[in-house]
Amino acid sequence: MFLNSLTVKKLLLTAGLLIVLGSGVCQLPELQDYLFPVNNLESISRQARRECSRIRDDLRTLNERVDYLKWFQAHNGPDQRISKDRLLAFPFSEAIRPLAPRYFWQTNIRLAHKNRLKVERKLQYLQSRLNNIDPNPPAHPPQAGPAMPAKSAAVSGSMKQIQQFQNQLIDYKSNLMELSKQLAWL
Amino acid sequence: MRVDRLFSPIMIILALAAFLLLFGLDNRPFWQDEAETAGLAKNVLTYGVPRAYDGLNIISQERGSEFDGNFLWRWSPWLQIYVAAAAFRLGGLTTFAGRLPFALAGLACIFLVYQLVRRNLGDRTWALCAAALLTCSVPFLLYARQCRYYSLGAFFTLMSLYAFKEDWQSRFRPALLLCLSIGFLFYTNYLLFFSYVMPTLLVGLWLYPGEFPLKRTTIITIATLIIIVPGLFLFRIQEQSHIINLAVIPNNLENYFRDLVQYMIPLPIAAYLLWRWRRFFWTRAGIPGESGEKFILFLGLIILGNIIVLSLAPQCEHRYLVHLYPLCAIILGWVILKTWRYHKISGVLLAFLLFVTNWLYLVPMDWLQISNRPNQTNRQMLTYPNLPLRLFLTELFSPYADVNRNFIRFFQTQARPGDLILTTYGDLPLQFYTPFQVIGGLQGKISPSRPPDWVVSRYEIRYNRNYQLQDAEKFIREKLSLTADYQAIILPWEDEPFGNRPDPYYHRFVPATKPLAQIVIYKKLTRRQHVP
Repeated sequence: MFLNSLTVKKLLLTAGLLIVLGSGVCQLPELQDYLFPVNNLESISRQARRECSRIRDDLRTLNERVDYLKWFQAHNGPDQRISKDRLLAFPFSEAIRPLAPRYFWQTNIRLAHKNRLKVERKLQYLQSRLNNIDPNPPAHPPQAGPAMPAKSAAVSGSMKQIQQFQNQLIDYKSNLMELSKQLAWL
Repeated sequence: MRVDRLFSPIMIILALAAFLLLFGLDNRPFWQDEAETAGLAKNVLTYGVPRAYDGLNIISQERGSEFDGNFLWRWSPWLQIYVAAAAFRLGGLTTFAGRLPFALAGLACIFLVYQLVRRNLGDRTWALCAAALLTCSVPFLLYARQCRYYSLGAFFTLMSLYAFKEDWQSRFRPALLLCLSIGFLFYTNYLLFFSYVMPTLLVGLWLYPGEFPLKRTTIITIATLIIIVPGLFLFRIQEQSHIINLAVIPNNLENYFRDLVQYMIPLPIAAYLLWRWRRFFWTRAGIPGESGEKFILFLGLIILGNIIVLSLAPQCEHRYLVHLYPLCAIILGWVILKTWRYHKISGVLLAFLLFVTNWLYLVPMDWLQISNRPNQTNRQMLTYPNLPLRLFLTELFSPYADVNRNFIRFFQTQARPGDLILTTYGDLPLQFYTPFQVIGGLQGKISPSRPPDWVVSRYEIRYNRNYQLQDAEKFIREKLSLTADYQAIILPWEDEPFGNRPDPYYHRFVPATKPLAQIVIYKKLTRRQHVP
């Protein structure tokens, strides 16, 4: 029985390490490029989708924090009861608000600015990435005839998506500017 | 020397470490922080003391609050400045000379790790394993190859531990070594001193209560205080303490612990150690009896205490953890051996993962979605699953001209004597390598007597600690008309944020395949060039 449990533990340890090893090998950049080649446009489009979703999340958090701070300012003080909704959204801040209102204010103002800066940097980097896309990418190796229209359709699809992302970035920028103004007034 | 001693495993490790630390040491020029140390060291050669002003340029990254009315540097401790100055005196004002003593200190750290474990804990295999792990730690190598205090901090930390494990209670030399290493740690960086000494003392008293004789401990404490007291006043620590901000503590703690498991001790190993020592946190009965494991617990608690103290400081940077890398190597070496003795195959797998890859650090963090990958990172950096040594060797053998090198070359060939350069960042490398007056950066308020001849508006916008635009950025936006009075020169190189910054979140081993933003330099138009 003892031997069995020891063997199982050893097997689990080896299996765990092997899983990490396998996962690491699969994520090696060179091997990934070799095993799962994607065209440049597709990869940028995928990355832009991921980044846009993060920016959206960050903007939502910033918006909520600015609203939270405005609410705190309007009600002028810590005597407000702890709210369940706010506790879910900002557990730490809401918990310390009645105890240390000044610390609460400083922490949240700082976090809001940090959040603003994070979004600003993300927008800047993503915009450069999208603006830098080469509209005439280098020619791909010759392929069989029927595959060509499918390929160009995929490329034009990706370009369309990228255009959509660029439009989204404009919206995000104006949203960020508005929130930055509100933050400056606080 | 006998042949078997010459080719002993530790000599082979040290030879490999010497190659990794010294080869291509001057491939890239100093980046901003290194250039601060190098610039001050250059001034030491002229004035004998670190002056922030040399009659042409001002060295500052904190809006001028680092020096007094006589431009005497009173911000960071002077040891690193004098070490760099001595190297410049011996080797000339070169990048290689500036970095050499710090790289040698890094090499000494690797030997000390070996010596500490072998001599005091008596396990040569563990000692070799720990020394080899530190040699293969790419973040540690990057930091040790900088003209900055990082490797000195690690060296004095190790030296104090070495002295502590010697018979300092009754012998004079180890006691003196303990006192001096702690004192020098203060003059290396007082943040490291405060974050290391307090937790070490408390943990030492808790784990080794019988090893602190009152009289000797008091003498050493007083002697250390005598060494550091002048520095407490010289470096204006009291004035700097107002920048401690309680608001940042939770965030700092989160970031430091994330850094720890992302680069220093993998999350599964940290979790295993916590589980193994779980009884210790409730009762003293849980303290391991075996001296090796007890020492590992000692190191683990020092790291924990360090992070807690560090989180009080406003700036949260990975560089403040560098002195803990050797401690982590000792812990990981012990874990590898423990695993090997438990199950050979697992031991080999674990050793492979820790020596060759960063997968055990990043893959579990990816599964939990807690890995930290700022948006400027790419797949060829340490923030992604990689073979770190391969990336590092690629950089050594295929060096590329980074952003600072390109700026230096441009101004060395294009600017004329007496020209004034304004830049939003990277002013200090330009000051060190070129003969021109360079203003801007993080120097603070700008009031040039004439419009600058050259303006560099870096792609990454810089903010101060209060998240307000830096003065140089403001000056360019509010006082200059770049479109009307300047000609934009777009260069084909990438405007990367820092250059040779060793921080694993920022260090680029290979250049980006397609630059995100190109370098733009504005040249002042002469009257004749102005278009009405």
